[in-house]
Amino acid sequence: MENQRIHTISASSRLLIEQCDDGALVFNLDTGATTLLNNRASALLRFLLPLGEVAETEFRADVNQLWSETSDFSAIFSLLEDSQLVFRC
Amino acid sequence: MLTISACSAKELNCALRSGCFRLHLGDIALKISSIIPEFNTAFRQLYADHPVSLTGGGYDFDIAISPPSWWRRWFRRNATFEFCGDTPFLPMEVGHAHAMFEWGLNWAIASFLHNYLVLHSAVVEWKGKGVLLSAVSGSGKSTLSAELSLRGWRLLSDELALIDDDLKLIPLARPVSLKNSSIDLIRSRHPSAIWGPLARETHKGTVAHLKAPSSSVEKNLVPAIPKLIIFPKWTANSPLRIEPVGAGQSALRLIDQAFNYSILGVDGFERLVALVRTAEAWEIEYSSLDEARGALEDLVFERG
Repeated sequence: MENQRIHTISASSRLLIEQCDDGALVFNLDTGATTLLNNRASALLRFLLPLGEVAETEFRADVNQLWSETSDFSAIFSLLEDSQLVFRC
Repeated sequence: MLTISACSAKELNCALRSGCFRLHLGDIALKISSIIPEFNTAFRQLYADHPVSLTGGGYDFDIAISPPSWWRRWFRRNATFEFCGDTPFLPMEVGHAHAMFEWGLNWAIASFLHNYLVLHSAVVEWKGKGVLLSAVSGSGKSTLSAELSLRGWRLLSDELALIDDDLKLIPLARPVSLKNSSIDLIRSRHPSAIWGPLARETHKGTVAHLKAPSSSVEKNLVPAIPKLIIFPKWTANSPLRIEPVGAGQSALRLIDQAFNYSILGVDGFERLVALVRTAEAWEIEYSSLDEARGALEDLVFERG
């Protein structure tokens, strides 16, 4: 039987987020990097931020309930992960 | 206050030689020393309207344009840029000393004035509204700011935007550095403009410095309020094209052109966000300086 590992995810806790007309500018206090996120990515980040560490499957299910189109969850999450704004623990 | 034009060449040379010369560039005081006649002559011409002191006083930067070490003098007549006793750059021939001074001063401001967010951007003002012209080198930023300054716009800088914590644009009106074909273009459009000597075969090609209008230098203690951010791009034979740029994209483009954004950390981010929220951003592609100026004046009138 395959040993299934439950991934947990969390957002970087030291972020400044400022909404702009064309997305959200995010400043990561840990890395000093600034990222411009589209509205969907910033919504996902804002949703994850207060949750702390959470199971990825659980979070994905919660997001699915909110968003009608969920196919881009993975792509958006990867983008946030590449920008070091979210982490798989 | 005393200006260079009110000093005789002898008084200026004496103060530059003795270490008592201070140039007041807006809020910044520079101690400048030189015993190189070519530099002193060009400096006197290009900074004629700037306030100075010939009797010493406090200063922010200590700059010396001096001959290099003795053994180097055997090869050719060179000059070095000394900054607070260090020589951060290789010597250049004495005919390029005034250009080296401008480049060195840009480097010093960008490297050490961290009380400001420093962006690679020209800054001009029209009808009391500050406009940043931000672009990579070679986009025509200095040519456009030279043209605007000679058509009644106020010049704050052709190279560096200094943004303080109140989001004001700090003026630094000083000679505009033009390269290669831009020199003849501006010369032909403004025959009475005052130029320093040509510096040929520099690492940037032929360079000439245009004296900043006295009306701009006189306002070097009066900050401007940013109202527009322009990303200009000169393209040969291009029709005029103007497009809005979102605030987030504008911020990213300014970060690319910032010298000390990463040093300022959160403060830099907050200042930049405030800037892009205050000032609308537009991209302008042009081939005609007249069209670009007209478009900018319309934008300032309608959107600034």
